[in-house]
Amino acid sequence: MKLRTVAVLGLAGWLYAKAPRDPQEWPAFAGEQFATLREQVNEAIEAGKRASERRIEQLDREVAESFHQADRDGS
Amino acid sequence: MHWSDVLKAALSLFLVLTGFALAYMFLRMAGVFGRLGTSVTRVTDQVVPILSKAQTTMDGVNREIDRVDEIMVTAVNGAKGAERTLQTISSAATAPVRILTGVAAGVKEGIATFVARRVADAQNEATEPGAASAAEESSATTAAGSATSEGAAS
Repeated sequence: MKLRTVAVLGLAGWLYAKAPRDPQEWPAFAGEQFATLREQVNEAIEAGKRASERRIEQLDREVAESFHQADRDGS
Repeated sequence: MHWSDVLKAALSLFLVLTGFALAYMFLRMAGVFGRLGTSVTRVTDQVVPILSKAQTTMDGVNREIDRVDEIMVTAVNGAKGAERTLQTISSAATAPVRILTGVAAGVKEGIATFVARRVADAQNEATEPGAASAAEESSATTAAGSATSEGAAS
């Protein structure tokens, strides 16, 4: 409940600080904000995909290197 | 009695003594050869079973070596199978781990990128009004300058 109150108050504060005073500009503002947010989210998703692929390749290299090291120690 | 008779008698005595000596020597040698034959017979009687036992032992050793060879081949095959099993288990165990690790790294990087982009956009947005006002001021100055020059020209 407190978290919801904080979220609502934060949203209200953010709208008061950022949103235009004229209600006729609110749809344009909302569209602009949604477009910006969509662009940022898409960029974050692409960056996350690249980081995930890099991490998986790194993990595969580490596992392969561990197997090779075990083979060298065993032989 | 003539000296030749003496020599013949001495020669006869020498030959008789030599004959006795040779007879005694041959008798002793016969005994020695008899004992030697007996010893050889005993040695042969004892060595032949030993050789047979050694042959049996060598056959057993060869059979054991063959078994050890089979055991070694089986152990090598078992080790290869264990290695393949270990690799399979490792692949099965690491598959979820690598997926989770990749997802975690992706989420972390995505959140960091999102936050950084938000901060950068906020900074750009904060600096843009100043730039806009500076642009407005520069345009107003340019307009005033042009008006002044136009007035001077007129």
